[in-house]
Amino acid sequence: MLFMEKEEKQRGLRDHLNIIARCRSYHLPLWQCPQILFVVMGLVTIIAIVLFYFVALAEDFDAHATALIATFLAGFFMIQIFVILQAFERIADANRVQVDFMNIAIHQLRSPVTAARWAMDRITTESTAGLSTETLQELYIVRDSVTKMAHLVSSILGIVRIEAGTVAERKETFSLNAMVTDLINATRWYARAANLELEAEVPKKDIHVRADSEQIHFVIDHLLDNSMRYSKGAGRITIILEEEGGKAKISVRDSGVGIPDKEQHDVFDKFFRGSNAAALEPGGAGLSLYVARTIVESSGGRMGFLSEENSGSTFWFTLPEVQPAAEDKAEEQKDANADGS
Amino acid sequence: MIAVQQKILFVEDEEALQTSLCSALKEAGYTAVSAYDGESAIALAERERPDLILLDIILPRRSGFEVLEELKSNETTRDIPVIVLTNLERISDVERMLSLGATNYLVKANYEIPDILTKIRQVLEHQNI
Repeated sequence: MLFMEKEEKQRGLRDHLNIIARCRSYHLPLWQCPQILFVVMGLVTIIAIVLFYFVALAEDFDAHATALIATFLAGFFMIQIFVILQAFERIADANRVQVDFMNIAIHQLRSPVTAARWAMDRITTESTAGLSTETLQELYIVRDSVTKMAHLVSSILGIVRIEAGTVAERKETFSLNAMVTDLINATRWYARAANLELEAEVPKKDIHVRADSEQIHFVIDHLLDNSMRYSKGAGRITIILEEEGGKAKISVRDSGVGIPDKEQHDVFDKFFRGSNAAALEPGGAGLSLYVARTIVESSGGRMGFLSEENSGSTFWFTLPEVQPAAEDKAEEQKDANADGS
Repeated sequence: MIAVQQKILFVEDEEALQTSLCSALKEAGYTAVSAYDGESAIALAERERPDLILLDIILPRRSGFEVLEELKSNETTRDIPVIVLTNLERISDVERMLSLGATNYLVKANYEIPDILTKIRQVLEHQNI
């Protein structure tokens, strides 16, 4: 028992002294890590004190008084640095615990939300015969609310990822053409219900990018969702995929409420909501554009928009285009053949 | 409609997800078999020899990682394609599942049932080439 306790203590001490591992657990670059900063600042202080000592000797100050002052200053600075960095470390620890908790909570939320979404999709697309118009309308309200909840959950998960520094970690080469087409098909029911025309301009030639496909899916899905949510009454939404100067570009154009001029510089801020958008849709959280731009920029692209109040907005983003590797091309060809057979 | 009914084993502990997806699978012409935990997933895969397995990661008794490892080390189940269907998106989870032999990795929250059916069809067609 005693041996185990001793082992445990030794392991604890080893973990405590393993600065690199502790820094990694904060998801911080090494130069921002409290422990590394402590070592660096300690070294800088010691060097400064030693320099002071030699300068004082050269200037013929009293050696004992100089040594005493230097030692006192060194001790004072080191204690101060230690106290400040301890506080930083506590904050970093608290933040890590919070991010881990959010991650678990969001994943726990995702399962019931997905279950509700799948069940509602099945009810509203397949078994509505015989239901009264009122019941059907209520079902659509439930489905719309579940979809909103699913979007909110994925936006919060996006924020958690940004805080944890794990955006766009996974890279794979994929075609944007199929993703845009799939999303348009999945969104069509919503557009129809909202009396919106949905158009897609997708080139025949595949445009490939290298990024995290799930996260790019999030970006396009949320741009489409915003364009529908902030279209007042009937209108048209167009999604365009094109190649522009070696980059893949996706634009989502709507004829919605637009963004007032004076609010446009805040559009990508966390929790931003346009005054007219908030009036139209009070339930939004203002997270998706912040998350979307972070994903795009972390994937090597850019995101922007053009908007005019009461006329509509065009949100666009670019990603570096890549040529798929030979084996990917062969795989795609095989898939195409399989689809056609 | 599919000429010969293909069998899909869906490993998922959430009852509601089982109900929705299994109904959709049956309507699409597949035979759906359900497993609610890791241990019964391994037993059912060996007994039923499904054409494809949809596998969650967070499961009671044995995790999806353990299940996949076991399936790929067993001669009877080694060649059954496995699509991971989970809500975990960490890069380490994706890489681990793919390195263990998963054919595809889908995040449940990002897919509607018709998309999942399309993926299943693509994997099965690819398997039959």
